[in-house]
Amino acid sequence: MGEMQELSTFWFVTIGAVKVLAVFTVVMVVVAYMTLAERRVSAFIQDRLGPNRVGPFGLLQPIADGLKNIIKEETMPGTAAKFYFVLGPALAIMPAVVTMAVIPFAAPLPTPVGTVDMVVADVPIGILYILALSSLAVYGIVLSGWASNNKYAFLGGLRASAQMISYEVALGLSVIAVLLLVGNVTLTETVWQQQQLGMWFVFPLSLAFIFFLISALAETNRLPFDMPEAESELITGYHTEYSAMKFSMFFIAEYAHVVTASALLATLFFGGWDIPFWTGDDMFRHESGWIKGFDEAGAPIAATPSVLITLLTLGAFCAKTGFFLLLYIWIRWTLPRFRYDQVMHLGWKVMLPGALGYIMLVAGTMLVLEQLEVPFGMLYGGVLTGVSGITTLAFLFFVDRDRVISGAHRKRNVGRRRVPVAREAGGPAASN
Amino acid sequence: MGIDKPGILGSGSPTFLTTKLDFVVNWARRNSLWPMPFGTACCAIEMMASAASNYDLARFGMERMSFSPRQADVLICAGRVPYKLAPVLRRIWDQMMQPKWCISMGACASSGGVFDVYSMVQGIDTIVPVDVYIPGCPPRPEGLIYGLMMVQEKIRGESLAYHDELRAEDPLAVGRPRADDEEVADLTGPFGNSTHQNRVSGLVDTDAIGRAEDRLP
Repeated sequence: MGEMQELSTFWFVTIGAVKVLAVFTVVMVVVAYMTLAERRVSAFIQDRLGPNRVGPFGLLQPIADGLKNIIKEETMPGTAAKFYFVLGPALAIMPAVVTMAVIPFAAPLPTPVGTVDMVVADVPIGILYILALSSLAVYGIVLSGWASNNKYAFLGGLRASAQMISYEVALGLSVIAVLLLVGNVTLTETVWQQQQLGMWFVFPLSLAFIFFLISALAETNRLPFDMPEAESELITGYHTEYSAMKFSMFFIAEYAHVVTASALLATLFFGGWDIPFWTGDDMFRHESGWIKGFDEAGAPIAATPSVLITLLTLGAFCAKTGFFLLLYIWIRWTLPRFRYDQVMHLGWKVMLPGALGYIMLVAGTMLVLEQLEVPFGMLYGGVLTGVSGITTLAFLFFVDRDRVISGAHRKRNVGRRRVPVAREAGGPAASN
Repeated sequence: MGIDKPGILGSGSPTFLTTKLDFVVNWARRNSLWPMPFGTACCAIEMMASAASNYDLARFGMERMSFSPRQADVLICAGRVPYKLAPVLRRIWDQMMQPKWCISMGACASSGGVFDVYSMVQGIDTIVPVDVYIPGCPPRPEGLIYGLMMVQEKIRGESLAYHDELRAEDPLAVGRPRADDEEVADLTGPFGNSTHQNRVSGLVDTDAIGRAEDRLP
């Protein structure tokens, strides 16, 4: 059993405050540079250069944008509901920022005053906390859309609420598959169980990963699901009437959501801070010490936290999160937008029953494996991987564009009788 | 100490502190000009071309087109404006938040161009105060980018001490070009031949500037 020195109350509070500040700052900086990355990557995708004039490689662009927005004039439309108009951006940004609190970002760090968990708050309700708070984000959007007293903003807000509530269901159901496998809702335990299983959950729960990825895209209101903004239809949707820093708040909120969703994808399905193919970083708080696993007899094996492992795992977490951030940008600049009815169709008629059925499948497979007393390890994960892989392929085949979500041209042509070309010379009267 | 120039920082000449603040503020403003595209005609096609890969406005951080005037910094009026559209243009300008600038892109927006007819606004400077006129029919993307860089130059010289003058919204009082004819001719040189230059040269006399009030809708 590894020696573990508990933090005294003083250090617990002090280090907690430092962690809050550090995580908040890092998220804000990542959000700022995410906007630059978005513009640069989109430029590269479109054979352009992107912002490169402000500072080296355009690195000062987010600072110029932020500063300009701070000193720009604020909007306060005469007919707006003033209190809610101001409340909207605050409500939008709050859930986006606080959800990072429960995501573990590295292995525990040993310090002279005790071992520090590398997570702001390891609350026992973990994922439930994230689901509860991320669904609050819709209030900020729908409230600002309504309070603006502007028809475009109002429509944007309505669309946002419909979309976010629809995909909240699929998001929650896809997480249930993970909860079944972990047996708990804390994210630290999610990471630990992935280390124990010997594989990341993306393999045994591949369909849940796909559902989560799609729902997360819809939750963050980004292309191909940016119904609430939809420039071609709604000007800029719910934030049409907002200028300056209030508008920036929505922007920050959107990107903070993306950062949180990426970190969550990395944690739930890609092992969190786990370094692949190396068991040296396996670490979990067990009773009063840190363990790296259990031996044959079921006795815990002690683990020793070290600064090096903390730094390495932090790097692994950042790499995984960064990959998903890039994936988000990549998807946005590659795919066109869905039509509104297609979004609803996909959410309610495909993802919801699909996720429900998948939960049954995972639960059933797990029940069979438990009955056969297969130990929680590679074989266990392998069987689940096989079952999930077949289901995923079947699902992808099923949602193929022309089967469920058909293109407009396709739908129009289906069932239309082909008019035979008039064989004989003659006017229009000769045809059919 | 007269209060002849009441800016937001009070009266008097700019001090060290305010000039340094001016520098930072102007730096941020000129490097983050979000255009409000008001494209009414063929100039808008050139505007789109200047955002595309060959010319790439994004390099200056200007590719973030604000379709909501609330978030825009510079109004690019690209194309002719008939009298029916004039109130719309003015409303969009009014909806934009300060600080804001306006670019009149193309001959039609600047002077009415070839449309010297009963239905067409003879230069949008009768409706909104214009900062930079871009001649050409339509101007090439290089022209638009040069015009935007001239807006940047203009911002570089601004000072918070002259806030009220710079942020005035009345087109007839302040919308006139501050430069004299020779300076206008110098500045517009890189754009090539244009209606504006013809007017400056004295060879063509349309009276378009002289009778601005007559042409208000």
